[in-house]
Amino acid sequence: MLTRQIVRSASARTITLAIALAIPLASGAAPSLETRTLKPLLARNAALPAAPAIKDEDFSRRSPLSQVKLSPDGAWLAFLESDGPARTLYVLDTKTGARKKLLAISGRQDPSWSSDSKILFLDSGDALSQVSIIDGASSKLAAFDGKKEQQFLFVDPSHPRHGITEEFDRAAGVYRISRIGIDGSSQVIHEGSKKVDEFLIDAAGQVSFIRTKEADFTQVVSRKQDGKWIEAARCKRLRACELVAISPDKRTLTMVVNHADDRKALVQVDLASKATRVLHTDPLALSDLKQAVVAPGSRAPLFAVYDSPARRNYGLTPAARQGALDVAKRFPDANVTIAAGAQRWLLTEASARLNQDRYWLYDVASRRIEQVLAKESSLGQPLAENQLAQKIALHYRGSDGALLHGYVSLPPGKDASALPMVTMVHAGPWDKFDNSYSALVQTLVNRGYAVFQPNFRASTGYGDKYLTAPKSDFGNGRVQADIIDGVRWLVAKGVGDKNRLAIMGDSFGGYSTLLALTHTPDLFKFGMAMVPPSDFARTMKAAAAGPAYGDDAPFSVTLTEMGIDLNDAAALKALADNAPAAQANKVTRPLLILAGGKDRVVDPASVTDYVARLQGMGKPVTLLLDPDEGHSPRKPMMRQAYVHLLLRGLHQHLGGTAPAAPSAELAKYLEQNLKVNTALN
Amino acid sequence: MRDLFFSECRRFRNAALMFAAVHLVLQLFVNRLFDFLQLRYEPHMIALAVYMLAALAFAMVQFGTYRQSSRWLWLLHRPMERLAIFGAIAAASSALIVFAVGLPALLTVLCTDWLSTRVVDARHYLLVLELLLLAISAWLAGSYVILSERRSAIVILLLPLLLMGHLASGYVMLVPSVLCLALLVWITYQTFKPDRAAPPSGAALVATALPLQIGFYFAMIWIVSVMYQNVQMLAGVHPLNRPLAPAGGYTESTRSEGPALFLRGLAASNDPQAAQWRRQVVLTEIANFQWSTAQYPVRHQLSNLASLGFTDTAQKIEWTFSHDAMLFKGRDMYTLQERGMLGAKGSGDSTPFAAVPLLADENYLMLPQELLVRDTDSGAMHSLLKLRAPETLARVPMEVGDLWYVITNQRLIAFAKPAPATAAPMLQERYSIALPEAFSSLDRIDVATLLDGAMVSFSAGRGMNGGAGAAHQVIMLVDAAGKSREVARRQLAHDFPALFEHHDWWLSPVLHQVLALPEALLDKGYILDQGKSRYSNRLERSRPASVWSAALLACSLSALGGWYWLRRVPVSLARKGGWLASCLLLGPPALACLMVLQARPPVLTKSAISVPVPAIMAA
Repeated sequence: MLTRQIVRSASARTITLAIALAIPLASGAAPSLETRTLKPLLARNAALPAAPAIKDEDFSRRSPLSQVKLSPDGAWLAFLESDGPARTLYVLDTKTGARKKLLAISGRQDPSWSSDSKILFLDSGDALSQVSIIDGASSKLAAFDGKKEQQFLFVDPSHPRHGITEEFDRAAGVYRISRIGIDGSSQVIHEGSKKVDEFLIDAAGQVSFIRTKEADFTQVVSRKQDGKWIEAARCKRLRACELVAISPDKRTLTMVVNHADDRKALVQVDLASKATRVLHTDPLALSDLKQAVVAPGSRAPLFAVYDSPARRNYGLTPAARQGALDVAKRFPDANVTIAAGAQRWLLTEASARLNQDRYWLYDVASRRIEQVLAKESSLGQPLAENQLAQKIALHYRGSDGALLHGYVSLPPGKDASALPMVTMVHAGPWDKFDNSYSALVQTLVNRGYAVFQPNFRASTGYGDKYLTAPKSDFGNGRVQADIIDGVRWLVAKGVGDKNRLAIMGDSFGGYSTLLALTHTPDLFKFGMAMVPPSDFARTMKAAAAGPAYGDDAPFSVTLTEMGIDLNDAAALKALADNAPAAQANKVTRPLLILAGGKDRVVDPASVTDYVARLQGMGKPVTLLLDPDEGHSPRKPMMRQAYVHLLLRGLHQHLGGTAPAAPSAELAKYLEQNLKVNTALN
Repeated sequence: MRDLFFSECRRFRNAALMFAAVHLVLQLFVNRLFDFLQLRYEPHMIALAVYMLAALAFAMVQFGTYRQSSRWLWLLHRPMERLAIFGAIAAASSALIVFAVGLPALLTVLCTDWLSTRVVDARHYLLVLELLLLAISAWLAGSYVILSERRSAIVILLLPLLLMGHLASGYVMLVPSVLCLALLVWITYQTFKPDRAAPPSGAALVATALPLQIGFYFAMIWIVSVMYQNVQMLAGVHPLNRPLAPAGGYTESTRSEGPALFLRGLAASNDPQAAQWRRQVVLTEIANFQWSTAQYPVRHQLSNLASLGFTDTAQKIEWTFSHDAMLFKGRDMYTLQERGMLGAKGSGDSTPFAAVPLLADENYLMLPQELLVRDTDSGAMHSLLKLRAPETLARVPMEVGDLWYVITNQRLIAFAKPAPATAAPMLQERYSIALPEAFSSLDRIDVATLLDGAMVSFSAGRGMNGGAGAAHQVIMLVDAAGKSREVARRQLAHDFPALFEHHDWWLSPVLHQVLALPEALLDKGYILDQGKSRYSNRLERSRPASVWSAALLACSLSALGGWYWLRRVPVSLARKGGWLASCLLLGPPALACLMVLQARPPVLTKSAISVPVPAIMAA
């Protein structure tokens, strides 16, 4: 009952917001997003019943369903259902709800519908198979040679029951795109010496547009005319340059690009004049275009999708507009992904409060939305939505007046001002937090902590200008100020006990944590850094000197595009001088560091050197070093250790809930890998 | 002589026929299972031992029947020269061995050569010859043992093993083999006489005594070693057989975890940064490695130091190295037909390799002065590294962080790790460090990657327990520019007393040097220390004063023992002097040899003297 009330009230809020947004949109001006006050939200949150304690491992419980795919005709849903390690491919009749078991599978098998909705292609990465939905009969179509980078790309929209594959024989310098039929026959439809990053196939089944990279990584879109490739458009390196659709008359090309050197938008390029027309850009003037969803048959753009501060789907045709409004009305707080079929759309519902996705079908004619696969989903024992915290989008002013973004998550039923607060800094730095479900955030919230996730300048998803604004100022400068400003702003707005603040992060977030404990030791009582660089300038230089992988631009190019000049000695000196490694003596608060011995991004020696220096100075520091882990730990045990040690540190230094005693396996892991421990009991 | 020859052949005809038939069937069966000629030396050694034991048993049976006094007299008391009798029997026995051992082996090699696409080189024919020489040597040794009055004569068997058990070139090995055979013929002939109890004399005595002395020398060092170590084990103080190795010694060094080893080394450092390093090394993952090989295959060697073949599973080709052609020859795994050759530049190329390669993991081929890597896709061979002789490669690249480490007999070289996409270019050297201890002593290298460089620990002491002398752990600091400096040096303590470490020397310094000669003279492919020759690498070792004293004492006591033994032996003064000089020069093994070869006459007891005279004699 309580859940329903919350949903209703949230729906009402969203409708109000939508109406409010509609007015400035109509007048052509973007609305002001700045969060003026948090009081009503905080009061509403404090009035909610407190959530019961949930076990750590329950936050990571996965859904038994995966790879849910709607057939192009909308008549079938294909999905994989797990039962322990065993997985089974099913199809479900969307009219009758009857499900049919096709076959048991092992390992990776990604299903894709053929364009006539009669068979399913199964891609295992090293082979392609087909399965009939009539009787589940399957056969192998092709085996892929990893050394030739052979792989399945997508189902051929122009030929029923055909797929498209690519291969790149790097040694011979030959790139091929091929069409493969269910009889195993293969036809090369494009061959060249350059690797093609993206391409479009026209209605006749020909490769009509390709996107390649120049030697300087500038992106070139070419179209085929009279058997020759002619440049149709050109994009800056590392910027959006996605091919979406060709008009039926082949006169215009729809693309996703960084419009006006800022946010990604949907544009149409007139191929004759090369004039560009914006088809859709974020009405809030906030977010990059996440994706353009196309119709399965005509390949015409249907929706423009934005992700900040939450998922928004905008229809691009009258029917799509109506559908998008229906979806927004039905799911005001959720991130809904729409996969369009002929008569029905598959809606995948996700949100900060859903640890497992839910699936719905939208009937285009009747505009009805009905849940599907509910019974199957329930087998995954999803957490109760009302026991999890919503992510509250924040738009605050930095100390230089710039509008900054982020999220805060609060434990329901608690006075926000009395909460210990953890500031979580994202990695990258060219990355971002969104309002999707995060097991770590929900764990912390459930243990009674407010969690602040700033999307400081350099975060992705807010346009190019926001992304590159800091230039080289990644020391104790602009970026760090954005984070600290956010913490102070939140405390001033009544979120978090100023005497019980902690900061944490992975990679760049870890670096920011070290910076915070070095330069603002009075603000935070505890810090946890995972795989942190202790000197960002050194890490950037090392990465820039490293090799490029595959066809990706080397990291030196990425740095240049992000506005960082490694030849700018003054900027780098400023970074180095303020680096945590150079000022270890300033650290006074307990610090927990986790690192991997096989980290190729952050030199493990830089971590051990830093920790040894802190040790030599008698600073409180704890180091967990797993010799087998890299920059992104994969062992479940290390993830458990991460959460356990974080909760231990927060409990000890912020007075939060004590963590459960470690399992025997975890205790053994900690004993083996905790190399230094003077920060935790 | 001819009759005796045929008579002896007839005597063992059936046995030889059966042996040859079984031998041939076994040869063919084994060759169906695997390419026996291309196996490593260990299975070859087992086969060789079987042949030698068979020849030994043959001699035992053959002369065991002759040894009875009546038969012995019947054998020798015929109107023929002793040499002719011995010659006829030896020739007949050799002919039987050739028939039963050599012929099936030769047939197998010939069949493999002519009827299959397997690689057969000249060295494999030499192997048959060597096999025959060893089998005949074993027969001679067996004859000597059975005809000799002394059980201790069994040590003669060591002679063929010492002289012929070397992985040198087959052509070179013919010299010691023939020498060994001649010596054994001479020795055995000396025992082939009516009075088998009478000691040999003159040159024959010397020829008999030398292998016996060598045999006793080996027996003694083995007995001393086993007894001493067993006593240590029983007392619970054996360095290798207790939970904690002695502090500061080689055993502790070789068994230590990387961080602990660095801490021990850095404890001796006065560098101002030593405290920071000590804190850091326990946090850092230490890479630990040693040389991949201390020995290379030698061209035309009779057996294989390591496998000389590999399988290209993608192309379904078995590649086997041919010493004659100095390249790999291919054979189709399905059709067993020839599939071309693989030379120094890859498959299809006929450029011979500069030396017999050592196949290492991950498609590496090691040559003394070059490291090659085989591209499994294209079959091409890429040169990664070239060295200038006499610097010799001793390990394939070991990846530590972003560097590849390679050991030579002179340096530890760090190379930049090649980018994955690059087509195996020559390795780019980042820095190198001269080995602070001799390569032959190098036990392990530990690398701790630091923020601005690396710390490298070189631990020596490999031959320490065998008397190689003092060894150290040396820690070098390498900065970001690749410059290195020594930051700590620790002398490793000796785990065993000097008298045990050098017991093989002080028991008989002269024999020790003599026995090291084959190692010093024969090229067996060992990687030599910088600036050392084969001779100096093996023979020049310094000995502590206590060991010299022990050697002098052992020789003196041996001479004293020899004098005591010879008191009642009725031999000429010259021979007595020769024996005493031998004891003084060669030590205890010479004394033992003396006691075997110069039996003392029995002491007549009083009861023996008062034996009643038979009546008939009295009359």
